[in-house]
Amino acid sequence: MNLKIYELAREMLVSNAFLFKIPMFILCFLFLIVAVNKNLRKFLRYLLVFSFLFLTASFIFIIRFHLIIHQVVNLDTQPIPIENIYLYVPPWIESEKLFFWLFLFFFFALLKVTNTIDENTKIGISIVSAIFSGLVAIFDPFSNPLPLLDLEIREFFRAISHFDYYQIISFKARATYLYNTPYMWIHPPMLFTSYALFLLSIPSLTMGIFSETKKMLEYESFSYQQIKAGYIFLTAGMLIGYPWAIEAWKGESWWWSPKINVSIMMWLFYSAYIHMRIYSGRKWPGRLSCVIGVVSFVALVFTYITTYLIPGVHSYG
Amino acid sequence: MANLKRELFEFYLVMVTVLLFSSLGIIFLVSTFYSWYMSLNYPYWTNTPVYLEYVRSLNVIAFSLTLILIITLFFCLEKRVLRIREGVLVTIFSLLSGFLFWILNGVSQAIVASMSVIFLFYLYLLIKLLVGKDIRSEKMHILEKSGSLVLHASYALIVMSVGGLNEHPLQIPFFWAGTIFCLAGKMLSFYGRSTVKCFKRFFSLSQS
Repeated sequence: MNLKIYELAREMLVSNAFLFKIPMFILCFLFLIVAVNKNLRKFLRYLLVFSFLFLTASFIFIIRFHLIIHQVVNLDTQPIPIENIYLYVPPWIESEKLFFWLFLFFFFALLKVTNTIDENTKIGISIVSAIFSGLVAIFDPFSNPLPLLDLEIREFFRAISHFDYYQIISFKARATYLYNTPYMWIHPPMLFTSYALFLLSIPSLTMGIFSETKKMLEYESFSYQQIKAGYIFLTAGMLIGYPWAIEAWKGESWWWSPKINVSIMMWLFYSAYIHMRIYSGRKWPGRLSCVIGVVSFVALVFTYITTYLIPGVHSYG
Repeated sequence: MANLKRELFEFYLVMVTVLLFSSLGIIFLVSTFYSWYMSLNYPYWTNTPVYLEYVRSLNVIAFSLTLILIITLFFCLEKRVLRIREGVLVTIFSLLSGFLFWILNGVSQAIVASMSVIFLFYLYLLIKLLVGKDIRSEKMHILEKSGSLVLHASYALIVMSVGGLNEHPLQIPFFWAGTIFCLAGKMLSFYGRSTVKCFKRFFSLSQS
């Protein structure tokens, strides 16, 4: 019965995924139009408001799906002598990561895009919004919701029906250390907040590289406002993950694993940017700090992709 | 002339810091590609002696660079609270104590020893700053000035906890202390003025 409810909830998301995909593609197209058409650029803020509201509404459906998982994936109705299991799955894992990143990006973009902002920065933010809306439309969280957790949940229900205690207990252990841990509610949101702020900095950083000195200093200054806030969240998120890693990967070799490596690499590059930035008021150090900022963002993208690409304890690769 | 020299010294110090951060980043990147290549060609390579050798060499390279970085960051404080002579003396003392512990008790204790010396000296500077003795720049508020001091002290504490106190009961308490120092230091460094304003407003409210 519980499996049926879960499958129904999942199927509802999958069959209605087009209701998310199509508007996201339209948003991608609209952001591109705003980027190229000067007369329509004044609507960027409205477009950001609409996009944020649309993602908020979609997020409610994701949260609802997670609540159903919490309600049905347990041993409540089963005559099994094992202490009960409840899943508290945070709504920013697996296929929901990119969605959550964009959601936070729209939130910060809304705060930053005002009438006083430079026209080129607006173009840059429109282009970034278009690219990410397109990406989220392609890799949306509804077409195949939580694919790995789905396999685990199906295996869990199979184990219950076959009284496979070993599988049930191992599911419980994974739930404790992977999904239910309080760290999952703090570590990823902090990192995605920093990613969103770094993403917001990238248009002005890129323009800073190619602008004349006075403009470059303005762009660099705008980027720095986002990066310094993002850097605090990045550092906090990474540090908070450390005690959890010790506990969750006890006995495993994780310190030099690829995902950990690239995350530290990204932090090191952003640290280099922050230090380079001390002399950004000068001509070439200012430009160099823009270059290091862009390199740091490339490192961020690589860090994000590594999770799916390179095998390791912190990856799906 | 002396001012110009000091300015130039500080500029090169920052450039060296940037270079060290970037070099460490590149080492982490190269190690990722190596690890990827190995996992593609030898899927069980983490169970072989090659992996142990890989971890050992990376530990040595990364720790050496981190030590140089921490010492460089130490000298970045020069213009605010640190006299260069004091800095050189503490660096020598830290390296010597590290070397001594390395010979006597191994690498972990060497890390703890040299980082402890640096951390304790940061604490001494912080106390000196807070009680208002021998502060070199009077323009900034005491909280703003303590920002980079607290931040750099946290790096020593975190490196000590991660590199030297592995599986020790004090590892996690020290790590959390380092985390709190790090975040407080960043807040004071990046948002010093706003923090000072908040403090002033809070104290004026509580007094009234």
